[in-house]
Amino acid sequence: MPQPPRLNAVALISPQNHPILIRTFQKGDELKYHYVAHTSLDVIEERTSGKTKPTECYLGLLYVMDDVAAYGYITPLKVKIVIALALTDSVVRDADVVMIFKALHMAFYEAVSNPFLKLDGVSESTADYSPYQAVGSMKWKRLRQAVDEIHRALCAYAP
Amino acid sequence: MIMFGSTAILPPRTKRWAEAKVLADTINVKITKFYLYNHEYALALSHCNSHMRRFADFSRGWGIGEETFEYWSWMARQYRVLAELLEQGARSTLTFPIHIPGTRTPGGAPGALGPGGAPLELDAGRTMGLNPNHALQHPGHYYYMAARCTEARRERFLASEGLTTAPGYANEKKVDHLTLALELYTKAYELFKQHSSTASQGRLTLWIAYRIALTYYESGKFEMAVRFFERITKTYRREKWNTLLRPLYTTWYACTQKLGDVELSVKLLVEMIACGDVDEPGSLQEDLLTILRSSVPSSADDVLTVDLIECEPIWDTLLIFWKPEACVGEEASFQFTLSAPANNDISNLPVDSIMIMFSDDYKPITLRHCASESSEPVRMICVNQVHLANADGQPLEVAANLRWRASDRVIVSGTILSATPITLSVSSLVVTLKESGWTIKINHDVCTTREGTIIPPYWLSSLNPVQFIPVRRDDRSNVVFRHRPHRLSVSFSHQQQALLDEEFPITVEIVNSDDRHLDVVVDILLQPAEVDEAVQYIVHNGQKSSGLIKGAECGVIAPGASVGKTFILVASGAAASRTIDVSVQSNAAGSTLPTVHRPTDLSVSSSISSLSASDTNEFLQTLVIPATAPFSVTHDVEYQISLRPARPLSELSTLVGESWDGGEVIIMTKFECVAPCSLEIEGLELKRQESNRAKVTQSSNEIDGDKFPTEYLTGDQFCNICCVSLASREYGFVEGNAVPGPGEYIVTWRRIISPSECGPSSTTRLSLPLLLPPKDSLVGFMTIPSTAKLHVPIQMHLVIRNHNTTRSAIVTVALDQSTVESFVVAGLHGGRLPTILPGAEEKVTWNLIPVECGMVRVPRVRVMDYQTGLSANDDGLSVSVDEGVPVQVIDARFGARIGDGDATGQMNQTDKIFVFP
Repeated sequence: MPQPPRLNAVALISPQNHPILIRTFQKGDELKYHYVAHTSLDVIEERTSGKTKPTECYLGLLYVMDDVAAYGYITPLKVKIVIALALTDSVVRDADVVMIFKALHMAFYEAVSNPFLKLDGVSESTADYSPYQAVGSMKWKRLRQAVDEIHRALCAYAP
Repeated sequence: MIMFGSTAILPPRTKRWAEAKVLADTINVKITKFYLYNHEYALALSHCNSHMRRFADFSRGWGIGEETFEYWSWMARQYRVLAELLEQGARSTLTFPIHIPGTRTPGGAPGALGPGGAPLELDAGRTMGLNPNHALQHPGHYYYMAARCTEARRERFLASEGLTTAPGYANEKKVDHLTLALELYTKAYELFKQHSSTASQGRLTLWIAYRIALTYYESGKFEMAVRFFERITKTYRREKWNTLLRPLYTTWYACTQKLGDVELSVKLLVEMIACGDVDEPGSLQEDLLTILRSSVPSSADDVLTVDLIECEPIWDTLLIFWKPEACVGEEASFQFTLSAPANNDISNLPVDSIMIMFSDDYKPITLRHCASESSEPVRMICVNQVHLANADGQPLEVAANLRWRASDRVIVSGTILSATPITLSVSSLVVTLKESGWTIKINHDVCTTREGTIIPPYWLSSLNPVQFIPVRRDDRSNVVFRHRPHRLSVSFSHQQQALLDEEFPITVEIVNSDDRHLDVVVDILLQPAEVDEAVQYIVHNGQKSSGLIKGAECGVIAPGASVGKTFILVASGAAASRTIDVSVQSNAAGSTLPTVHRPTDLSVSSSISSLSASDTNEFLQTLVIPATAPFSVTHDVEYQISLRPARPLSELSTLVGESWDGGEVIIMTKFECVAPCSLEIEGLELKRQESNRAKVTQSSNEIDGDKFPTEYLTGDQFCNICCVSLASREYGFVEGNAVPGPGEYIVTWRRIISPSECGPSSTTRLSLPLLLPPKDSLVGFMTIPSTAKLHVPIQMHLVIRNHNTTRSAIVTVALDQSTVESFVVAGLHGGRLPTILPGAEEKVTWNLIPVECGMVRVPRVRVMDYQTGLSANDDGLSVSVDEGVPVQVIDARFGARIGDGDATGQMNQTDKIFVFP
């Protein structure tokens, strides 16, 4: 029975490739995970713009670098989610990763549905991405808390 | 394994031990290589990894654990060997799998594992996953790992520098770790570049480049590092990943400090201030001030320009125009907000002036620092109107306090005016910093916000208390100047419905309610009708067009004046709605200038008049006019067969002249007035048309004389009867062919608009219907006197004429015995007649003696044609002979057949004669 994956960092990236939220669960290594998130965009773009467009949101293992494995996910509205898993010598089940991604996607979805995010909205049009920016800012805690909750749940599940 | 595990068998750091270790490594490489040959990528990596792990464990036992440089040197070598192996492989047939989850679905080939990876394949099938450790990647990754290990090795080496006792230290000292790392990174960089697809933006390569730059920095090659940094920051700036930019700037700044490049340091500090300092806000501006105060620029007048375009802005800027559109000559008010970031300290930035530039040729607004001005959190600076660059007067310059505390806002409020239609916005912002001899010009972006901040688009409505009104239009940051719309009122007058063939006038009435003189041109487009056979055109000033009438000039209309334009629509053919598009274009040509003027604008007036050609308004209207027929016409057609015998062939006129003995047609035409209004019918004429197949012989209107002009109301009817002679059958007739009506009625009429007013005279042409004379090959004519005297013999003749041109007829005649009781009949009671040749006729005569008085029924004669039956039924000869086809017998006294002459022709001989006593 493979162990559940250990989550090191979560990154949510807007459709314009701006970071929405990058949450690291390892102290002192934030920069590294920012880089992981940024470089993952390369692989994500490569996979989504290829000849065979993926039918699923889950993009699978993006790459392995240092001691982390980066996995990618793209929502139908092109919000990219990247998670960095600690590299252990065990099989990581796709089902587990997809589950984490789905939880993160739901958390983001719920957080961004907050109508108050639009209170300071820049415009009334539907193509306004300012809630995406706002939801990750320090002012709104809901997404942050939800991501932390997912991390905690994963840690609790691990023996 | 046991050998390595026990220090007793193989003591570490002996020659033998070293040999054994190298041997083990070599074998590992060989095994990995074989796996790769077999496309078992996961197994190859798994083996490689387990080898490294096993020996890492051993290393701890040997005293060269993770804390020693020897361990990392060995690790780096392992990765490098693997990378080189893969690089070599890639040159031949080795391909690298892509770890897309779709390729590992059950049923499909587990591409990530390769066809031979049986144990892992099973494993994958069961768990649907992948050990990331076993995912083979391109060699760049392994070079990168090797470089990282080399860095770790250097770290350990530097840590153990004091302890010269460490074994191998002397050797290690000779190694230039950084060059080694650089070489590995460069290799990785090249491979990443090679393996990155065209779709990606090379972020991975940039990362490696960043590592290279760091390594250069470590090795003291600052110039190289600076060059790398310059290149890397471009992308990061564009993508606005500030978290990546900040450490980069810090290192870059350190480089420039080492290099002693003051100008670059200053530039960098400005950019770093823009980027923000999360840890110690305000320290950067202090650094900047220190540098500025402690140094002098290379030349005193030199202005140092810093481009912050596409970078993070220092201030969040926002431009709002109150209205999205303004008329030419009207002032558009705007507010330009400069807002200091909340999480960054720029309070000591020595801002001397800020210049706001507009997109068109306008004088910029300059804000100059003045410490005595208000320093409220929200400062409003009113500038008046922004003038064009070539206008007279001083450039706009206002004093303001340009020191910002966190979240301070400076709002510049003013108006702008344009004499030409244009879209205006603020194009750029130049901030000038001045401190002890230094002048720094910062090109700043406009209408941008810092990462993560959102400034809600608010319009400052009051300063005390501070109140805002949200302006959420998408186009709030620019204003569109348009010409004042021309106030023209356009109305159309015409009757409700048009009648076909009528000249239908439509009047366009244009009233100029503007204060300008307007040159008006009308275009009229008649849309194609949607029904077949519709004919239509419009007439204007004698110009006739079935489509477009372009540029009907109305001339210059003075304010308050009006112009009417009448055009005429003529619709004929089919009744259907006609669609007309009318476009009224007005042009303020040679107009007086807009009234809202200042004397300063006089110099502009020449350009206005040249541009006024474009001051065009268009008024569009679509008219749908139903067109109905004025009359509905019904025809009653009666065909009469000629009683005259066929002319013998020998007669010359049969061959050359026209013979009009093909029968006669009586056409009764009923006109009903269906127009929604009353009509005055001025005349009715039957115009004959030349035809060798039919001609009009007489018409009732010619006999009756003048019934017209008469007024007809809706629903009124009148009738006309005309006679048409048909040409004889032999000529020009094709069997079953219809004869076109040999004439047309021409009705001239007018619409009665009011009791005293009539419309123009119109002419409607209604052609006679198609004539379909009955086709009859055999016909019988019965001749009998109308009166008789009791017991005085009379004669009854029956002529059977064969009109068929090609076939002879076999005819039998039978007298109906049940109808002969009123007479004593002498003659043929029943029998066959001689064969009647084409065009010939046969005559049968009976002598009758009336034996009853009063209205007496004439004996009925049944005539049967057998020949027709034969031809109609080729194979059933006997049946046809038995049956025969009855031949129509016509009483020659009446000699008419009604309608289109269906050939059933039962003897409708209800005829009677009157017998006197």
